Amino acid sequence: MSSDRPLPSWLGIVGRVGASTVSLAALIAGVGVAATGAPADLIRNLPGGSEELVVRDVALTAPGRELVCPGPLLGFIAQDASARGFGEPIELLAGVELDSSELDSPDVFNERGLRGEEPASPLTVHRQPSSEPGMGAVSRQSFTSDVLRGLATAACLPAQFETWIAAGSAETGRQAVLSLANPGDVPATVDVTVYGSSGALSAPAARGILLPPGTRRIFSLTGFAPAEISPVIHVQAQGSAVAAALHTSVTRGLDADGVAIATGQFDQASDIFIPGVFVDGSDEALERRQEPGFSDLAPTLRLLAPFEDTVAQVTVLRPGQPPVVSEARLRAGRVVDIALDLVGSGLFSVSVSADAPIVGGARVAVVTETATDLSWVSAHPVLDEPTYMALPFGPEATLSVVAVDQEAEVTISRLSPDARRVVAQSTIRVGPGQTINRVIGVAGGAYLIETTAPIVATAVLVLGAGIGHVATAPTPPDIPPVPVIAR
Amino acid sequence: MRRQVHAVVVLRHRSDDLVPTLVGLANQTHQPTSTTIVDLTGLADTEDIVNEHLRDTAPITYLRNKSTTGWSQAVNQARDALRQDTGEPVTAGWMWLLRDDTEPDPHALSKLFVAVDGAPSVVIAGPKQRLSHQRTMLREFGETVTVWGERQAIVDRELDQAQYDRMSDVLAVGDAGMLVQIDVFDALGGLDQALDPLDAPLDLGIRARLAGHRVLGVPQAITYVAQSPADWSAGKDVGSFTMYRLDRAAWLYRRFVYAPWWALIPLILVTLPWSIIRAIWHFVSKHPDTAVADIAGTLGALGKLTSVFPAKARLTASKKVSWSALRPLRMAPSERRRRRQLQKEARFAALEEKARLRSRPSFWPGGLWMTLALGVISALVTGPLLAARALGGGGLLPLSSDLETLWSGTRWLQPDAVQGMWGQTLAAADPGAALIALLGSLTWWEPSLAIVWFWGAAIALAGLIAWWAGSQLLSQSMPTTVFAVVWAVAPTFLMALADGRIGAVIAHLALPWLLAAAMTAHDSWQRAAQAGFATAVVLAAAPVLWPAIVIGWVVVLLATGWRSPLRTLLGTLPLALLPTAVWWIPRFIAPTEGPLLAGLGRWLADPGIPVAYEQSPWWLTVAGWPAMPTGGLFDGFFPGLEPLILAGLALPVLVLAATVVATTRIDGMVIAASLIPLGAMTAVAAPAISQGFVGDDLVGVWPGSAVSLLMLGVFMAAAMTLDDVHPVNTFPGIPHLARKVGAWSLALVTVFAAGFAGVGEGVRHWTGQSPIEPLSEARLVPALVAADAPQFPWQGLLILTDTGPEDPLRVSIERGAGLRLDNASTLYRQRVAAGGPDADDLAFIAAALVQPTSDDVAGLLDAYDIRFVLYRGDTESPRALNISRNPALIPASQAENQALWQLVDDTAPEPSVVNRTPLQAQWDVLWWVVLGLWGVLALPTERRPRHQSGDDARDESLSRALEEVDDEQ
Repeated sequence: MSSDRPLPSWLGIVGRVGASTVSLAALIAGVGVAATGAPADLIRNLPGGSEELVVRDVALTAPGRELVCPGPLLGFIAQDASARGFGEPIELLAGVELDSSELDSPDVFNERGLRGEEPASPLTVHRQPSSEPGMGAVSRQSFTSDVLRGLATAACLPAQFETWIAAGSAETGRQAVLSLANPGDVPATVDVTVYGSSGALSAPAARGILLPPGTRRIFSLTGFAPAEISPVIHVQAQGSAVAAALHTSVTRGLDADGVAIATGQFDQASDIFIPGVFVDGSDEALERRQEPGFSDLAPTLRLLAPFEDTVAQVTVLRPGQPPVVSEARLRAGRVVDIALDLVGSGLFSVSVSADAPIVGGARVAVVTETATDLSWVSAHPVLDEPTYMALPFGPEATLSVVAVDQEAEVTISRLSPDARRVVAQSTIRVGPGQTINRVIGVAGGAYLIETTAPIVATAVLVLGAGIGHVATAPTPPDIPPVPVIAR
Repeated sequence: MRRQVHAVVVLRHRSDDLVPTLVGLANQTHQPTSTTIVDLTGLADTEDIVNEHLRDTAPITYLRNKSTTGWSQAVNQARDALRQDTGEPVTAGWMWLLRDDTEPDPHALSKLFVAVDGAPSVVIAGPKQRLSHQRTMLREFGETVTVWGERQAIVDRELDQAQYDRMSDVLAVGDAGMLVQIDVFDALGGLDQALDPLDAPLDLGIRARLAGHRVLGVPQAITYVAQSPADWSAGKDVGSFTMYRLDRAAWLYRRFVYAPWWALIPLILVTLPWSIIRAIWHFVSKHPDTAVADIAGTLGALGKLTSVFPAKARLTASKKVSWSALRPLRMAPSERRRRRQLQKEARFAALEEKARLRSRPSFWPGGLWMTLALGVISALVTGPLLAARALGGGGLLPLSSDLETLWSGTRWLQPDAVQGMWGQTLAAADPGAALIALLGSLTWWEPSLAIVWFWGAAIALAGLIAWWAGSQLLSQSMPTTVFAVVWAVAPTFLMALADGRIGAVIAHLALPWLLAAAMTAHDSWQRAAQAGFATAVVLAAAPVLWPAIVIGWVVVLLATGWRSPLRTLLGTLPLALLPTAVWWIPRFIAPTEGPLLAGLGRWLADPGIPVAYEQSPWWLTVAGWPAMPTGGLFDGFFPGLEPLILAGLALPVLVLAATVVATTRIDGMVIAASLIPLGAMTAVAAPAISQGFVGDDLVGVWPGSAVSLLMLGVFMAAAMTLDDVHPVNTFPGIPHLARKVGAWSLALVTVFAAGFAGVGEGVRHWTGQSPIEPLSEARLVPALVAADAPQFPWQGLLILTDTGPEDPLRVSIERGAGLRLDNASTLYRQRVAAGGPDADDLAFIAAALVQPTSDDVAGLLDAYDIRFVLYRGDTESPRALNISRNPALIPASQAENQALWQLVDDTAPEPSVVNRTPLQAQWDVLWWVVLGLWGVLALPTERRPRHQSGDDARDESLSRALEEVDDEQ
């Protein structure tokens, strides 16, 4: 129905010229507008604009503190293939809101097990919420039996993923039992490497040790490093942190003569400090060391540069006396024992500096006419926060303090039994790079150490012919917030 | 008195035909007794014109009525106003009915009167109607009906060769120039006003016949008629849609009137369903306008039901003979069929004639060879990927492993897929997801494989589609091939392939299809529906083109459809844009409040996975490079000058494109003048639209799709220039030779420059500069997670990405088998820099996993249905080690730079499937209905005339020229 009338020809010509003109104009205008960036400006002027990803700093509650006590001293009886626990340790705690639990170690029997297969006293784990200020704990046992004799003290310490224990000996008459405890909730896989004077020792059984959550396993050092006189034990855990301790005992001939529980250095470092190195320079002691089988009564520094050769500068810090400085060449992976018998007599501290990370510890001994005892003290962590320490009743305790690099004013507070009040307080001033000893006494109890500068401190306990150390461990600092981009 | 003739002239629009009508009336050799004018023009001076031309004739009665008055009403009004000289009403004699576009021959009334004067049984007579602007053509002469009662003109637009001059008795006659006996007119009840504007004369004739009278066609009486009754009534060409609607309404109305009383109710009840069935048939036959008109006409007829009863009463009152008496006057079915066939052939012949004027290139051999060559290039470019089972990296990820999951996220995403951003409601999926699902369904047994194959064949596919598109708009093989080749190796396309931008790749493939369909959409409904699909595909793949495509459509429709604005506005435009609109509705009305980035990115973001890029300067963009080139082909030789060289290589095609304004190709000018500016402006604006974070930075929308649009304009305009320059005929002579050599030189320079420029991007898969990695398995999550995904589709995988101890830890959750290309949401991607509502919880979980803490996250892990924790980074780092110390987790697997843990307390998450709301379900139904309707319409089932190829035209011209030479000899 539509009338399809043809257009006049002039309209076609005009249309064509018009189309050309309009097209050209549109082309130029369009590209021109694009060239000015006007469309983009238009968009940018709309609401919106640039934003940057939001990083959330997530503050978490710090994990609760956890101290693992070493439990009863472990040792072998006669030709027994597995170690047994001796007695029941006395534990003393410092801190509030503590919660304690026990770790299973069903395969460890106590000394009376010969007659009835009783399990050994359990290992204790003490916990405190991170909201509380801090905690400390100590374990003490003293033996006077035919099988064991001496004072075994050890601070209860947090489990670690890496521990270096420069202590013990696997020669005849020296027992060393390595205790590995997993207080965590997940299994731990532990690799134990023993370094000796001739380098790392191969022990396939020491690799991939599985520790289920909440269990403890024990190993004879002899099994890993037969007859090694100067072992350094490296415990490396995966999955869960592990509390490692070396329980040592000495038998001279048929006589028990000294026990010790050695705890470890948590991390290798190029500067390490070993406080509380007791050097008995008395004639009696010197004579006794000369006797066959008593050579290990000499105070000895044990050093290891695990991975690199280095030269270590060993400085024996003596309260009120100039330090004694010497050098020791350390070859990678080879343990060196350095005797400390020419530095005088007293309670000293040792600092070791090297270009490469090193680990170390010291063996000290007390000698009386009738008996001797030894103790291993490892390189200690630096403290710069208030630190709680528990000391047992009985042995005379002396606090050995080293100021790391600047003068420190150290306040030692004795706390009430519930650790909520300060009962007594004293302050000592320690010059930079110097050491000072402060006698605490025999009363034991809970103590709080506060310092104005980084220090290293340990308590040396002496009870008759017995000596032991109580290491200090820093209160874990608050954890930093974790930066997270959640999308 | 019986011999008196009263002329009745109905004036409607006072067109140019009024004066000839009045003059014709005045010049009648047999003057009417009186003249009654019914003025519907509403113009005050019309009466003056009438009086001026009829002042020497019989007395005039001048009546006025509203312009909306129908012809029948006007005639009835005139009849009532007929008066004797004495003033008494006229009760006998004849009425001669004229319209203001009906110019009677001077002898018309005389001949009519002679015919009826001696035949008392004849009560109605009609003249032979000729076209007033083609005076030898018959417009109409007598009317009849088919056996179903449809009106049928006995004669319709034929050359008057006196072939109907022996015709006399007819069923009815047309309104223009009808002579009707007044007393019979009264006895029949006058004209049925409900039948305006079409069938009132037919109805009057039928009623007269049923009353026992005769209706006569008088071939000697001639009137010249300008318009059809419908056109005259509307004052314009009403078009086929309105014509069909009116026709349908009038026919149905007559059916109601003519049906027996007992059949009326069933007839009314069955009318609408029957009309719907007919509409479906019309739709399937690619006549959606007729389908709509059919229903509209039916509704129109049903709306006039109140008039049916008086009409039936009038019929009953006047009816004296049975319907069977009309049988000889009806059109026989065979004749009806013959006429229909003839009409069909005539329409096809018109199409063929049109096709003959527009030659098209032949696919064989040029197109085929080109496709094969591009297939080889395609395989060479993507060679390192072809052995893969899936592709990952860049903008690509594997797809879901089964069809059900693949399609489950194409319309709505479960809350878990968007981390519950909008609570427990379904989130609108990106329209692009359906495209990806469709692609993946091609290899239903392993959907990810389809992406590999698609990537491998993309260049050849682009060339093939571009060749088809070019063939719709170009006439010769050479320019079509040039267009297809430069399109297939366009830098923006190669960049998208190398970066894994699947949306941009699909858009590049579909754009030529859209252009060709849009430029020919005004030709056929099938093509318009196809254009609707093409628009939907392009906008689903590259939403940033929304503004450009809508404006482009307006320009194209203005340029191609201005001659039939109604069809364009109510037909082509809805067909082109409705599928896209319906597809996007859920996405547009999706909740956009909440933690979303402000700006247009929430609507215009690229579907899939975004990839960062370095924006190019505007002049490089116009040269076809949406981003700075990565390939670095020339950088080694000319440090720093690579962008300039690449822009220089685009110069030949740009110049050729600009030259289109100097050719005769107006369609080329329209394409260049719309697509190039729209593409350039969109490409410049796109990077300013942020579409979410990639790494630490907001990344803008990829401008490459807009550059594809720009280059489509450039390449098509250049090809049209070549098409215009390259001589079709091969007559010997310098001008022809020069044009031929010139065209081929330009073509070769263009193709080689384009090919050379694209090499750098084309080799990126080989030089390791493409982020796409061939995967041997269709997963990016650890095998354990993927294996559990079918059983626990809602399981959460917490992903911790650690780039270093000092860097922030990144955390996100993925569900089921992890993020896949088919369930990635651009809306979710627009979440603000601070993350979604769960971000605080996620950050807390992440921190508590990587750092020792007494905070317990087991409850949160359970609340978020997390079954696995995946750490990406140094597995020996303290953060990773701390995860392994979490008692809630057990190690599941470890690989280089990633470790997986599974929750110890692994309670299988309950599937929490959220169902669609009724409104969402309705949107889906609408979507499917539209897809179905458009699919039916777009299927090319029409019989289409074969287009002549340009090369055939050349041969034909040559042979014709040779023949002419022979003749001269």
